[in-house]
Amino acid sequence: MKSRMLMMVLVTAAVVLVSWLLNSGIVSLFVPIAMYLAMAQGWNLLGGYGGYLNLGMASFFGLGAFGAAIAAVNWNQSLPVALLVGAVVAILGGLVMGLLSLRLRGAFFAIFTFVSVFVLEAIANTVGITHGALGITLPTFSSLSYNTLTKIWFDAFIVLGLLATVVVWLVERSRWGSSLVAIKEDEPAAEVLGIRTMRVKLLAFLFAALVGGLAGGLYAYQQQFIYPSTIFTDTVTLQVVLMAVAGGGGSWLGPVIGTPLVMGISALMRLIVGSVVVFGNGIPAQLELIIYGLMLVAVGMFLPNGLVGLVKRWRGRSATPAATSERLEARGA
Amino acid sequence: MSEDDTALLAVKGVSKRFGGIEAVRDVSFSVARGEILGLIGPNGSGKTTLLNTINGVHRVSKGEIYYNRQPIHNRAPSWLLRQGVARTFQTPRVFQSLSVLDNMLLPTIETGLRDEEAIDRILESVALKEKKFWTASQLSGGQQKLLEYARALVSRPRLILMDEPFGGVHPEIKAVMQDAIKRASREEQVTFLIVSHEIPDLLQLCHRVACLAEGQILAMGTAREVTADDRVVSAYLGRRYEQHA
Repeated sequence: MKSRMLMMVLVTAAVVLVSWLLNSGIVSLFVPIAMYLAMAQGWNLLGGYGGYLNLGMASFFGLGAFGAAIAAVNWNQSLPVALLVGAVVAILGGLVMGLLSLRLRGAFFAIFTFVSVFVLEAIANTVGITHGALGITLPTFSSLSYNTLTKIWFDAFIVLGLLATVVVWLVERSRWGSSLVAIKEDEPAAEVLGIRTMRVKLLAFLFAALVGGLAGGLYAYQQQFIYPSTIFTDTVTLQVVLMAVAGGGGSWLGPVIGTPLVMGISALMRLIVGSVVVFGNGIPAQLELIIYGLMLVAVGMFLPNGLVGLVKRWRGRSATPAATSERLEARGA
Repeated sequence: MSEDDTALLAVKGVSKRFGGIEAVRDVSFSVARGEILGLIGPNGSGKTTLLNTINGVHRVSKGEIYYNRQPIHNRAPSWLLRQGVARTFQTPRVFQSLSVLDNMLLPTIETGLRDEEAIDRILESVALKEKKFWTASQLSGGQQKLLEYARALVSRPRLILMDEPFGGVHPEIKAVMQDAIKRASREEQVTFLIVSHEIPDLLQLCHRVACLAEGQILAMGTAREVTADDRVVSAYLGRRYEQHA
């Protein structure tokens, strides 16, 4: 365990170091990948392991972004304090949403979380503290060059992403992880076994809120200008869910594989399809959503357990129960 | 001191209604410590509903349930497990993607009774120790029933509610489970309430048997008394079990 943790620290340090050796143009391509890795891991605990389709990641992202922006602009707080405020706002929002929605199951939970994004967008567009539809412009870091800032934001997102990955990795090997899997497979039976399912689900939901809130806060600072319709948007949720499930929800490795894969395919498709004009100019304007939607349908049809699930199935077919047993024993299950 | 005062489980006038249907009607009985009580009856007679009501899966519509002289009706299943009430299901509800060991560890998450030596002993008693690291999906249906029973024992329950534990199970596995139940009852004073259609098995396993029909207790007593009862023969058995009685 300690050696694996040390390895994760070394990997993080190496990625950070490499980012400072590369051209900032290249690093800028990886900033959204790092951000979405964190978000997808945040989603993964309840969505992937627990089987609760949370379509409200954009709510946490938005609460974190506006929480941080309000703290920075309205209350003149420093970046760390603003990020902390954003995270706390997202967690409080997650607590309210979780207490209201986690007694619902299946499509009802998914609909509740999906609708939360639109409700929060409407509120953010209306209330004065968020500056309404005009949005908020955050303080600039004029002493730092664009190149330096790009690398700093990448490092911040990648550290968040790798920390979230470590947490998910640890949970996967813990009783909490087993509880989440039990909830996914048969929640009433898990309750009969004494598992306090509401508490387990709420903790996983709050983890999503924390990571989403921190990512939102960092994003607000990185963009320097946010307004409700670009933050509380279903595109954010759709991307997060797609990245996690394409790689393999319910596995720490899933988002690590899925995030760069989906971003890569999406960029490629934009290059190829973007040059084709179909039905005038309307289609290219919504191209990103169309691509993500099609990819989500394709994953649902052909890779329901993601790439990790595909590999597991292939290994499962070729393994005898005894071989599987040895593998589990070696894992220290 | 009345029988109810010494009983581990006392069900008093319990009814369970689903809309216009009364699935369980004014049922009263008690089960002593270490006793194995069989519950028989035709399909739809309310046996599983009664188990679900005792187990907190359903709220009682009327009546009271006492466990260890403490009222437990309408308490959550997770709370009941911590008090020592465990449950198995008609179709084994083990977690397919978890290993046998991980399945066994689940009840210890809240009870904190993690004792891997005890888990090994329990798995050995149901002949599953060698398969400790197999995933549950690799077990046969009968072995999954054994795993579910073994998992119920992990939380050191005083009362186990079992729904059709012997249905569709290979005779060898059935024998292993029956031995384990008898041993737990005799040596550790674990109390069992077993719903089953396997009459011959219940006759040789249970101290007493109750027959439920249309949500009411039709007859209750020793296996010999109940299977000889004309009302039970007429409502459920169809013939007398002379060879066992």
